[in-house]
Amino acid sequence: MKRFTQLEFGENNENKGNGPQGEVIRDGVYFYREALRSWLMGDYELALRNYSRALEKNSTFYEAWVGQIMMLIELGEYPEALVWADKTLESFPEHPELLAAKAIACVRDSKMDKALAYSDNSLSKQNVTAYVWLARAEILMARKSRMAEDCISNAISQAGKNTPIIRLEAGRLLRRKGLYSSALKHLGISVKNFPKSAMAWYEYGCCQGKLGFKEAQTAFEQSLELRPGWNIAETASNKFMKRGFLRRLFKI
Amino acid sequence: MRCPQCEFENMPNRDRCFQCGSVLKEAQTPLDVNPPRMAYWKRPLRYMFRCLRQQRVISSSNRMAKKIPLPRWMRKISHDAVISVIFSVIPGLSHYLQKRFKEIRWYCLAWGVVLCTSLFLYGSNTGMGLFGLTIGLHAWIAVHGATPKGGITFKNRVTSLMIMLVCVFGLYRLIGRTVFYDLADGYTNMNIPYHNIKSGDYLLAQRSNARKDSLLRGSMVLTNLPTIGAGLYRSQNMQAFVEIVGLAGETVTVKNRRFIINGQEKNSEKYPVPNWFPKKEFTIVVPGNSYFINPDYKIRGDGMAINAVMVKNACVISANDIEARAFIRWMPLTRRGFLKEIE
Repeated sequence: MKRFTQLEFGENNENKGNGPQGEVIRDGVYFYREALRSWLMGDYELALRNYSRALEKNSTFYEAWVGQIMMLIELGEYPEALVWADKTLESFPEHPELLAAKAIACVRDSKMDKALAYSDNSLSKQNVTAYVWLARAEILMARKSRMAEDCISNAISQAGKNTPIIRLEAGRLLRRKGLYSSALKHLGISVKNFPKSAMAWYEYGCCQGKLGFKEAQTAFEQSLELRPGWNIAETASNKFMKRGFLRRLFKI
Repeated sequence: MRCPQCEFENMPNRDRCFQCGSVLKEAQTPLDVNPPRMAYWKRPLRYMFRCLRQQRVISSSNRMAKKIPLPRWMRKISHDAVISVIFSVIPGLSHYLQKRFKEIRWYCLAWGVVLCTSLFLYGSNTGMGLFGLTIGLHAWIAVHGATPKGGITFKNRVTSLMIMLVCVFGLYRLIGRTVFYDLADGYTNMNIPYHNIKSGDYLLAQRSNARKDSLLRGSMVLTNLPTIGAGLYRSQNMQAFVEIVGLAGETVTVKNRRFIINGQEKNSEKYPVPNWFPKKEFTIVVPGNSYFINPDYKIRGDGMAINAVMVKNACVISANDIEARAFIRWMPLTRRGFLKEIE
């Protein structure tokens, strides 16, 4: 998957092009990086806007198109994600990642038949990427199939340079499906890869909280430190702190 | 950039079409890069539908369901049909969601009209008949929404309709019991003794010559009250609803503010003694083709002049003086019910 190849973090990794006095050139790549940064902070709306700005600068930026679809899915706007994926498919026909994105939108909208069809279609193409395998894993998990774990392993093995991101997505997927111990393994590595990602710390904290570890509170605090006032993290943190005796006893 | 030949949507800055290779002209309108967004009010609706679809997902993967010996035609019923029936709790909603409301709009209108009319006339035979028609229309709309055109045989459609009739009947009964929960013995088909009539209640009375001969104790009747004399009067007109206490041929004794009929003491709550009755005990024999009633009068002075004769003149009425018999308390709606003769 190419969309994360330009992902670099840190203060020294700004795109200091040929602008006067080393100013940042706000081209498509700049907004694309900003979108990724926003996504890692859990601000999907801002990420969507930055993807749109990236496309305004360069409408052939395939990764930005995919990013828009993914952000629509993150925001729960599944029919809109399908519409946008169809529009993108007009420009990038039969692209396996776009078909996988449609499969993800359908499975999260509880349209299993369509999701499976799109996933089968995406796997039948050439150049199947890690993201396609992640989509397949999500569909198989929804069908309670044990093959899902193999798909996740395939995704991570095919990720290449994008392994940290794929591992983070895998961890989020496993947490969403309630497989907290498996998710913890991936998310633990992810927070080391992305120490400044509020979203990664939040996901990590959620897993730890479900497993009853006290370290969850630390993870939530870290997330809130990186993104102060984040409602979701605050709610999760408060809920974790207010657990009753029985919940702590049975690690609910 | 849209190709004029094959109408394929090409990326901008392309000279030739990706699909057919024809030469492209510069597009006049820029490519829209802003995706469509969901309206905020749609979120809860979509969440509800998603939850319903999730239930279908779980049931479709349940292997045990396939082992239930259902009739062959029933196994063909799709999950969409089941969800359509659920949404048909509100007639027309399932069609609206399927964008088929035009097919059923007149049935929905008829259902609304018939329902309102049946509620207005509820209690009468016409009202009950219309209520049955309402149930039938509702069941028909539900079956229509669940079955596509030509997708089911006539026999199966009739069977489905029968099943839906039972379900809709149960639904209406449940709604009635839930809405009118404070009515004892049911929702509107309740028997109400006379002593439960309260100020402000509206009553429906039926005129029937045949009923005058078969009135029971406790019946509420509309009658013309006689003018008694200087001691008793009524500030309103002399036609009023009264309760029948004694029947023809019975001996009515008033003692200690209670009625005693043929030696049997009656409940003072069910058969209240009017306040204007004299405190001294007295006995009256009800002549044939007459009834003993308990009307309300106002007393002039201290009421010492009222005697048993005046009571007899006021309270014994001929059957021919009875105008009508009240059979239902109409308003307010929550206090609607049939009036019951106590004995």
